[in-house]
Amino acid sequence: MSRVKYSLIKASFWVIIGGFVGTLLRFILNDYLGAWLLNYFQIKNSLLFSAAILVIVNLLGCIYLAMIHVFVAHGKWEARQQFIQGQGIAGALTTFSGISLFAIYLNGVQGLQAGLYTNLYSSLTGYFLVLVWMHFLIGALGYFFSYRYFQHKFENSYKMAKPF
Amino acid sequence: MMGLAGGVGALIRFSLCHYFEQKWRLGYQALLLVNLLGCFLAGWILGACLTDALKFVLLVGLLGGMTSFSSLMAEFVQAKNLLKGAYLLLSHFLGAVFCVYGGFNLAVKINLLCLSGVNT
Repeated sequence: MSRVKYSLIKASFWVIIGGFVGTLLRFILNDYLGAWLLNYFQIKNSLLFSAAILVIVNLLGCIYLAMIHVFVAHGKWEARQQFIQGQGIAGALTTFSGISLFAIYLNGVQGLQAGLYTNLYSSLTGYFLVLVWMHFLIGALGYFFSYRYFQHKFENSYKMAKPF
Repeated sequence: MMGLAGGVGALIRFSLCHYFEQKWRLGYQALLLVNLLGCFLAGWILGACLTDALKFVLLVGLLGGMTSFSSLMAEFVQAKNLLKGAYLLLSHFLGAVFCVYGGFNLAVKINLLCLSGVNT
């Protein structure tokens, strides 16, 4: 990831604004849009459907972050965009604790009180394993292909501008 | 309220990452520490005696903004070698399980201690 020089106070301000927008976006996409789709298509397994929405939102965040990194690296956007949009919006749009909690909900909340070691075993073998690794796979592929796509686009535009 | 909590969460993530990178000379492990701290707090809040509305704001807003999945994926894809990438993913996966359950069980134990204190 490219590191940029910045004023800490200014960067903090941009991160707060970005975080505010990112969280609202996640809330709207996850809760409102999810609930609307659930009702519209009359889906019965709401928990698994919400998990799918979470994967999609996290994938969108990864694609968005890759785009920001390429745009900033090529000087198309200013460095401060990495704080507003990268650390702020994309960072708050995607959540890691949400995935962990969701996977535990899928495993069964009541089971949480049964004891740490029993639950650790069931987590490592159950939905947790599937959901977290599926997230890792989809997120990494999303970031990788998005980064390559935008990088390729920029390289092509340079070639067009300077043919010799 | 939710957006404000998310903004504060994002600021906490940014400040902690900056602190760990500057003071402890940590690179990509700074994000790991912040994400695992977020998971621990998420487990703790889930088990703590708080109102549902407050839990929702803290879990979805504050901790949702504090922990980041896209940054993890960026670090993973841009990892220089396979070993670093594997370490990053495995430590996140195992750490998340331990931290969420650890936080939850700690909160439950504290609740029980408080209840037994009230009863005696």
